[in-house]
Amino acid sequence: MVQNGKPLLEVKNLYTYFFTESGIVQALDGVSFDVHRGEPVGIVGESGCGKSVTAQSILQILPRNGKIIAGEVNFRGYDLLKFNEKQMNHVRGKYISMIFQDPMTSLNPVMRIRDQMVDVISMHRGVDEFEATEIAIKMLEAVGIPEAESRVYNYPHEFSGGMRQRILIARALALRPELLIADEPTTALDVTIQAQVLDIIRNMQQRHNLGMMLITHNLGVVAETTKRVHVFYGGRVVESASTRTVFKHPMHPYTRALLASIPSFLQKKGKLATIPGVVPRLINPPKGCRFHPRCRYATDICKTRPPVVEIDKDHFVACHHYDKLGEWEDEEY
Amino acid sequence: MRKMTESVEYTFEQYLDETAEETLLRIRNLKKWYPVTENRVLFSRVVGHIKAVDGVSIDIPRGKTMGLVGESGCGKSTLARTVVRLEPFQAGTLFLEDQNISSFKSRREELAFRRRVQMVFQDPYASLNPRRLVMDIIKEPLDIHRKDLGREEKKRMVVELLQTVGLEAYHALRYPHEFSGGQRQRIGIARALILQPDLILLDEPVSALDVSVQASILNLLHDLQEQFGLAYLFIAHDLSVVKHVSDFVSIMYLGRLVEVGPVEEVFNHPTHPYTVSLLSAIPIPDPDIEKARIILQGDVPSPINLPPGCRFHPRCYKAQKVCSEIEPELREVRPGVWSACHFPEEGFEVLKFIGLEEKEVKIGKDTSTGKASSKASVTEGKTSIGNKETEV
Ligand SMILES: Nc1ncnc2c1ncn2[C@@H]1O[C@H](COP(=O)(O)OP(=O)(O)OP(=O)(O)O)[C@@H](O)[C@H]1O
Ligand SMILES: Nc1ncnc2c1ncn2[C@@H]1O[C@H](COP(=O)(O)OP(=O)(O)OP(=O)(O)O)[C@@H](O)[C@H]1O
Ligand code: SF4
Ligand code: SF4
Ligand SMILES: [Mg+2]
Ligand SMILES: [Mg+2]
Repeated sequence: MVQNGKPLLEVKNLYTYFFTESGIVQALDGVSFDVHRGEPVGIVGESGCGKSVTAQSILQILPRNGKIIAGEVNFRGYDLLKFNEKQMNHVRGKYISMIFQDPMTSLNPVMRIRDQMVDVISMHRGVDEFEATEIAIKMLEAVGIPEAESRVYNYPHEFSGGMRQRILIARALALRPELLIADEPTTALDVTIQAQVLDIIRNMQQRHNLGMMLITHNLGVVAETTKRVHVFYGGRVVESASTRTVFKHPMHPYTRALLASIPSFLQKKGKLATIPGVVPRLINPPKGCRFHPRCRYATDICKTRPPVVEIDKDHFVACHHYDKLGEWEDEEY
Repeated sequence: MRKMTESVEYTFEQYLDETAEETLLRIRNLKKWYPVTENRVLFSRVVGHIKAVDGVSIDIPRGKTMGLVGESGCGKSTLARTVVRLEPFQAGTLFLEDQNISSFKSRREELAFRRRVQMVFQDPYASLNPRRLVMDIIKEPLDIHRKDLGREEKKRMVVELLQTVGLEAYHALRYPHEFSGGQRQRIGIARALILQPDLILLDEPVSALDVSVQASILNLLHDLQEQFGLAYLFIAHDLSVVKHVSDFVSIMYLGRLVEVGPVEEVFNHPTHPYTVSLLSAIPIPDPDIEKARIILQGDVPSPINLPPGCRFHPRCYKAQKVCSEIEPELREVRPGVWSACHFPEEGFEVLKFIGLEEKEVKIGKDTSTGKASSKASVTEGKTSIGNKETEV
């Protein structure tokens, strides 16, 4: 999907580091990507590659030892990194909502669902308590909570995990945000419940024309839910393209290796492709292309930082050998 | 017409007993209930039971893999823990080959059993003792079971095994926290292997791991099976993983089996509505597929207040009146495939339903066949995603 006009969110050359006793963790090392209005975007990559830190950096909710070193986070044309805490609070409530992996830690266990929703709704949407309650009930109904009118008075523990995640979606969307960031929203859920929740997220995204960042390591979820994908590796974006392109014509060696290592439902009992070596540590990460110690195509030049190249319309890869990737595509990884 | 009564002439257990020559482990009508107590000031009393495993029979053949699938809390881990006798059980029998191992008559019998049946736990972080060297963790079963071996011999075996599971000799002198999740899982597997067991129960061995690490662990398990003729009980919730490693599969729902059979049969032509719903819920990593889905309404019910009749009926898309009255028993719906449903699906084709079939024909460039049965073989040995082949 090619988008014209200014993106809703534009992350440019973002560097976020963590300062720890054992050294500096270069968690984000020049991350750039866009999200357009109404566009569901997937952020994929393996554990520790910087997906959650990207979300935390956009919203400026990093842990204390984390610091944004450089970059821009342009949202509707404003650089959020120049905003003060009060302005950011406004952005976080009204314009950008986030859903986390674990619904239990995001809900207050000793407060009724109604009380956890009404305050924020009345504050950010400028309505009174009664109207806010009504909005809360409507949203709960929209995400499929049965008997929402009475259940809104229940406590979190009286709901199942899937219902709690749906309640969080309802709360996030009640504020009518323009951008929804969902960090592994279904990872803790069962397969059938995951399908329910994803269905609701997809519906809501379309109905409200939301820009969405869906962070997950589940490539199936990404394929079914998003239109664009940014593949992360070691704190950088290594490939960006339409979802279809990433799955059908992946070009970056890491993306290809990643896709080849997922068991397919069509395969019979047998062996999988694997990526040799281990996920890089981000304290003293590999020099140059961070994938080079594991890449079968690595040459000397790969020890320097690869350029980001648009190899096809709207298809970006960060690889020195971008001109040969097309030839290599047919090889089995 | 199938009879809708409970008088089943030919039971699943009879069937298993008749086909038992290749069987290594026989689990029969296993029941594991946890009491639910209400605490009062001076006493507590039992007010009910969580029927975590409620009459389950499974046979695990020698050298083969039985997959065990089901939603969170349906009793998978409880079943595995009970089989390795980490927990007592209320009813049922367990046989290892011809030997009844339901209760051990002597310490020797117990040791002999433990030597042959090992378990790898779900959480690679919690299951290894953080204060012990990897050498000692892996060697421990030898210290218990192989008093005949000398120290040097045992150490040599540990080092050899570390290499078998893809680690290095020097790793033996490190502590678990110095390893990544995938490496810890390898340590757990090495520990399970050291006594050269016949059967390993694997409780979600790859669920906590990244896909690239998962792939290497699955390959390792595959190689070990080929090399040593190991049998596995493989518990997982990722159905693609289960399909990839298993020969047979048992689908569990709230403490009971709902469908059992060869994995290709069950996953390509499921008969139980729960299996159908599970399969239709798998996210498929192919954006071209506009998937049809059966989205289950409602949540998994509490195992304390089980629904009457078929336990799945409150969420089932096919439920009829009888379903809430009579609990269906496993019946043979096709040769080798057993299903516990009053109205099992017939001729259901998963690949067609989720829109994979057409693509699969393309993958193999084989347009001559339209039958799902001959299909999976077309893709054998290939990765169908991220591979140019899918584009043909
Ligand atoms: N508070 C912190 N202190 C030090 N390092 C941190 C901190 N938070 C994150 N990191 C490091 O930053 C890197 C990126 O972490 P992040 O949480 O973004 O990974 P992720 O891609 O979300 O992984 P996962 O899939 O496991 O959630 C990791 O190497 C992580 O160890
Ligand atoms: N020690 C225990 N005491 C009481 N109840 C228990 C105990 N262990 C498990 N249960 C209950 O038994 C049921 C089955 O649990 P079990 O851990 O076997 O499920 P599972 O299928 O392995 O789930 P998961 O996929 O989440 O690991 C659950 O309802 C659980 O709460
Ligand atoms: S830059 Fe070099 S090491 Fe990195 S992905 Fe490209 S070929 Fe591989
Ligand atoms: S017995 Fe009835 S409720 Fe149970 S799975 Fe079959 S059709 Fe559904
Ligand atoms: Mg994360
Ligand atoms: Mg379990």
